[in-house]
Amino acid sequence: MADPLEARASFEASRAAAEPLLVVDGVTKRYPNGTVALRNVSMSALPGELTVVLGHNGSGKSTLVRCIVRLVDPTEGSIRIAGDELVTLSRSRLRRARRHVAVIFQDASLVPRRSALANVATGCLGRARGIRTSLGGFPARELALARLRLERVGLAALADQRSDTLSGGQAQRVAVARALHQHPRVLLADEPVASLDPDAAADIMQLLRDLASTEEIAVVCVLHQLDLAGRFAHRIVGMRLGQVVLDAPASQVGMEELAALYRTDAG
Amino acid sequence: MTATGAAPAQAAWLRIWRRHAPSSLTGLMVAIAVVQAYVVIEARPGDILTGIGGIADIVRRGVPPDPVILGPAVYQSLVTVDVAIIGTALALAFSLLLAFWAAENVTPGGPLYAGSRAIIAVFRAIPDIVWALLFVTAVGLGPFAAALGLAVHSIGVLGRLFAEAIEDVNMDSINALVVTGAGRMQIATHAVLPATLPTLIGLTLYRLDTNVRSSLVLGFVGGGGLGFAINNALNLFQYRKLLALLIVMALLIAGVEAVAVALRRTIH
Repeated sequence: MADPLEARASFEASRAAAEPLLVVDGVTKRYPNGTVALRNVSMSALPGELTVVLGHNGSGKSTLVRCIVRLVDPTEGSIRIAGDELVTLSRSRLRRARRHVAVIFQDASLVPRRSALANVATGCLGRARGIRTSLGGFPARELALARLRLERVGLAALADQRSDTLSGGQAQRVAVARALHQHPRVLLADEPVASLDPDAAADIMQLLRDLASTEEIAVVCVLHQLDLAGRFAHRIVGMRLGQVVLDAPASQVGMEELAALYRTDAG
Repeated sequence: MTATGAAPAQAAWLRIWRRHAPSSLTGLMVAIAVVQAYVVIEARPGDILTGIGGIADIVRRGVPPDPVILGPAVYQSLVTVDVAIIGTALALAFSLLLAFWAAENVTPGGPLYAGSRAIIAVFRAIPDIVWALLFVTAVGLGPFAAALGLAVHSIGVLGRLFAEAIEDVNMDSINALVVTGAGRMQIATHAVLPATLPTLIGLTLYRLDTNVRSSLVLGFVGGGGLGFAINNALNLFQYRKLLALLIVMALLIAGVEAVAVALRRTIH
């Protein structure tokens, strides 16, 4: 059996050789009421890698995701996506930079009353500017590509079904397809399996892991399920009280270490 | 002994007072409000009993209703409905724009937010009849002034209701588009409108229904249509004509309401 420290060192060496697609460096988020949600958080994500972020409710995981796409502006620190600094960008430049980052939210967050296909096609809005998309339509080419994305997540047959009639697992797959249609370099998923049954949750995690390797994108997924983290993650980041307290390859992190993240008396 | 016995009794009274004081005070304030209103409006219930004969006399003189007015009444009904349609259509266009600026979750913020909120508040606060009278000075008596009056007041009402409907949209479905790099207009047409469309259409139909009734009232003050004809018949003591017009009015209101309810049901 290989020495764990040696294996860890070799993993870190291979990471160091690759160019990270997402670099979070010393990010702090302090709200006007004095609450500090993130304290000097640093992490990175490589192409082809699924990074799982674990931690208690309120540990700063979702704030981190929102800071990365600047839905929430960080107070300090730097966030780079494929080499581009996001924190200092103006609104218009930020809009262009956001095209490289897709987000999947907890409840899929599809637009109700629109078809699965139309929801997937909205992934193109950042690049397809013009009268047609401004008036609620899509170019025919984008619709054809969106259909392929639905096929990729196994939902081609449901393309014309209204999104508010889909099951939780199907809706989350549509959200994944929408994120893919954005052609992202980095895919962020904020508790994407929180409301799914164990089988559907495992399906979504497998899909995210497959996408990371086949599309050569960096996937960062916020989770609470330790078993899923252990099964699917390449790398695990643990957070507590707004700080990163664990950042290691999944193969080097035991279940005991993961469970410790959720122990209330853990210091 | 006496002192120790008095303290618990005092505490019990205090508990009862704290429990019942808010509802008792509210009840007292409502009672005062109703009594003062009764006095201020000089309510005389006895006059209803003595004067009911006058109403019965008008109805008696109106029977049978005059069928000759049915032809003109159809056209006057059309005018009444058309005033409401134009008033609502103009309001729909402007209030939708204002609502996007006034809704906290999608507003561009700054002066657009403050300005749109102020416009909505002022337009809503001033009744449609006052707006219509103001427009009479600009475009003269008639249905056009009435339509403009209805439009301005309805912009305020619909603007506020639309903004509230937009604020109820799930922010994550908006954020999901924001992070694609979508622009403000794209977010409006691809996320906000589809999510709120049934509510917006329902509110617009309800407003159209209300505007038909308001259009009748505006007719009394020179806005034309059925209200104007009813006022004329009343002033000229043409009671058979008046009763026929009132029947047409009741049918018109019932018809518009039925259509609005049917359309609202179809949307959902």
